Amino acid sequence: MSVYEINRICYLVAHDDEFRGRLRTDPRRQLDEFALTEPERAALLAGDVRALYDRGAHPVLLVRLGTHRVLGLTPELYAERIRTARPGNGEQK
Amino acid sequence: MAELVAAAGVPHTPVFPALARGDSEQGRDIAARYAAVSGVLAEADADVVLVLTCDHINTFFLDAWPTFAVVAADSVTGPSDEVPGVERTELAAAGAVGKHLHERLLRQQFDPVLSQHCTVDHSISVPLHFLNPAGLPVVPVFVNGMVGPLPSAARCRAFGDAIRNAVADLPPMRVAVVASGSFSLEVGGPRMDRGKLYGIPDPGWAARVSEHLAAGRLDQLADEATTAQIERAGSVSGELLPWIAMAEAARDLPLSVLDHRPGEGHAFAAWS
Repeated sequence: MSVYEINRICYLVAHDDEFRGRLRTDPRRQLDEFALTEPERAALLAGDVRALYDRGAHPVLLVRLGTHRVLGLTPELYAERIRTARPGNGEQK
Repeated sequence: MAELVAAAGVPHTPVFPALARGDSEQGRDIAARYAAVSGVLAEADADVVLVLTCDHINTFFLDAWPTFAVVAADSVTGPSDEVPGVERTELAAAGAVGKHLHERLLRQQFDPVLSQHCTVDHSISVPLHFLNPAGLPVVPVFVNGMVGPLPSAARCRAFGDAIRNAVADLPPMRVAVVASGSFSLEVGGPRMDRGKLYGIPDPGWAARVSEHLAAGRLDQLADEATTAQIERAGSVSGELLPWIAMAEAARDLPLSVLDHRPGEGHAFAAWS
């Protein structure tokens, strides 16, 4: 479980402009710098926010992947995908 | 001896400043609702404003996440996140008051984090945008309503009581206490409305909270604000906790404004 790392990536997306830029240009290489499990890495690269939420990523952090348009996400796509998650599954809430 | 002269609570929705500035019926409505609270605060002629709210994992991160935190700096920078129409700027802060508050809280068995340098997010910048046109120095105070496990409502009441005692102990000055946040709100989670990035999972709870606040029923409010109820009300509905602390700190002040509409997850309120 590296939920902490997923949350850290979401935090950096909002607060580190250079990181956000690198994540947009070369997401695979950028994610290599984090201690993620293979399923977590795959979920991030696929913009699978439902899977990330179900693993316990904090929704207030996770939503930044959509609002900051990284990992193939847009605010609209984020809103659509997260609706299929089960409320309360997040570990951090 | 300082005097607590006014208290208030408002939502801190990031789109409200831009909306209120715009020429629309909705914008004029929002502006008027904040203005009703702002008028009460202006009338009270405070020297310093304590702002009780929840950081949205911007000021602090999960590497060191505080349950309670007090800022003692002479200025803070915000908003550190997106608030359309509100430029990031330096806000005057009352460092000496923050330091006093922290020290007096320690004497009352509270051990908040002391921050001497930080940025603040929309939870501080939005209420100040509407309620502090004079730019009075502020003391940001953070309560964890965001990352479980949350402090209990009873603990937040006790925190408010300790703030009340700490204020009474300050050198002569006029102090206002402002809380910001919602009672029912989902941000980022599955209970957001279709096509939107927010939802109000439990408007009935928000109405009940508003009634309890209006009637000063803090015992009942704290009894009902269980972890399960807060969880049902949405991913950021722990923002009620700083409201509870504010209401306890201001328990002697009569109600001036309580503006909640059915279906909404928040309220606009003032006491003086």
